[in-house]
Amino acid sequence: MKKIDSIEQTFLMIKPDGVKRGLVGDIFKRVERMGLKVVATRMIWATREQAKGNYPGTDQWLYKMGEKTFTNYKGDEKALLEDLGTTDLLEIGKIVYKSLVDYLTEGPVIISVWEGNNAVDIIAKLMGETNPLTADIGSVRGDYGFDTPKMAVKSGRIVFKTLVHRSDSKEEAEREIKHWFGDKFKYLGDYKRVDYIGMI
Amino acid sequence: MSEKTLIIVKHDGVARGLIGEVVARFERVGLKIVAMELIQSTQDMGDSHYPVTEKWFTKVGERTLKEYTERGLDSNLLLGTSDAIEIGKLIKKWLVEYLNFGPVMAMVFEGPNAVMVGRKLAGDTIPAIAVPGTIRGDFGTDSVEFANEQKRPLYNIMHASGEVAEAKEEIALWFGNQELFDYDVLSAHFSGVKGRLAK
Repeated sequence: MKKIDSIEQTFLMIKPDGVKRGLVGDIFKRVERMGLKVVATRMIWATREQAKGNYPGTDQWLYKMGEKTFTNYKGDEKALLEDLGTTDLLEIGKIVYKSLVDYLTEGPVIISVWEGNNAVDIIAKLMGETNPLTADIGSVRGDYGFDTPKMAVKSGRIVFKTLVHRSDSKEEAEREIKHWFGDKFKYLGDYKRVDYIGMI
Repeated sequence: MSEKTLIIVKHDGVARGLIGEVVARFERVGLKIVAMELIQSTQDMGDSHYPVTEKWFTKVGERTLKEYTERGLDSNLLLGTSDAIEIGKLIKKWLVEYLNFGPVMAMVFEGPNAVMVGRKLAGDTIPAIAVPGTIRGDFGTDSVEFANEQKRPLYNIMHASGEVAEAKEEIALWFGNQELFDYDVLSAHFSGVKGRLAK
């Protein structure tokens, strides 16, 4: 059989809110029925270090995160001061970073690797965009999401919950699989998924 | 009292894409996942998963002999023996081969009566008999006759611990020293797990 380039791997994490709401099975079902094959899965409780390492964390990145928040506030400095106590973009970036880490470490998560034809784009489509108000109906976030940046800030959580994380590209998947599984990664994809029988 | 139970989606379930289906049913009743891993079991693990006592071999062998008698089948002809212990050993070999055939999803679920609830959700071990609404009843048709004819165990999608003591041993075998996570699922706030209803 020829090597098929579009058969690729992607990384999917069900975040603490997805696990606590009991959505692991539903999310797996959605991915499985697209014929994708699970090749690794573990339940872990991320350490702060591990969660931090999920993001670049550089000053440039922190500044960008600050800018994003500033834009979300439509530049309303008074509101920013009231909610976050600062208007300094780098400082805001740091607050966001800490909140992202708080979120990823507030409970156990399920990390998994899926393989199949265009796995990266298929899982991206199934999960939907992060904003629950514009995420497609039928996507995980469109069907289950209700948190928004505003509610998160007003509740003191700063970053809003998005249920899942998935890779943007093959390259990112590779980095994320290494980062989250570490030396515990064992590829177990040497089997057939019924949906692919007769297809490859 | 809160219990833990070992649930395995065996390889037929993994290959058919039924992991999510199984997990969703366990989450829906309010049981909590405290460990989960895709595992390729080894010969040693498979051997240890099923008992090796003469009592167990005899029990399994006698059960099979009874089924053969009821169906007018000759175990000597089909299995080469009519000795219960020998038949028990043969079936264990088949079960281990089935368990080790490919990767399986092993999980520990926790909650009140987790072991009994797990058995109930799984349904009868014979899929053709398991009632609709159970995992085996909804996703299988395999029968004893079919399995015996092909000299293999019943393909019944999943394993669920039989009793609390068995669950303890099985969890130790599959998850060893790994941490079983301590957290609350949201439904616990209204299901009695966290006590009386509270505002």
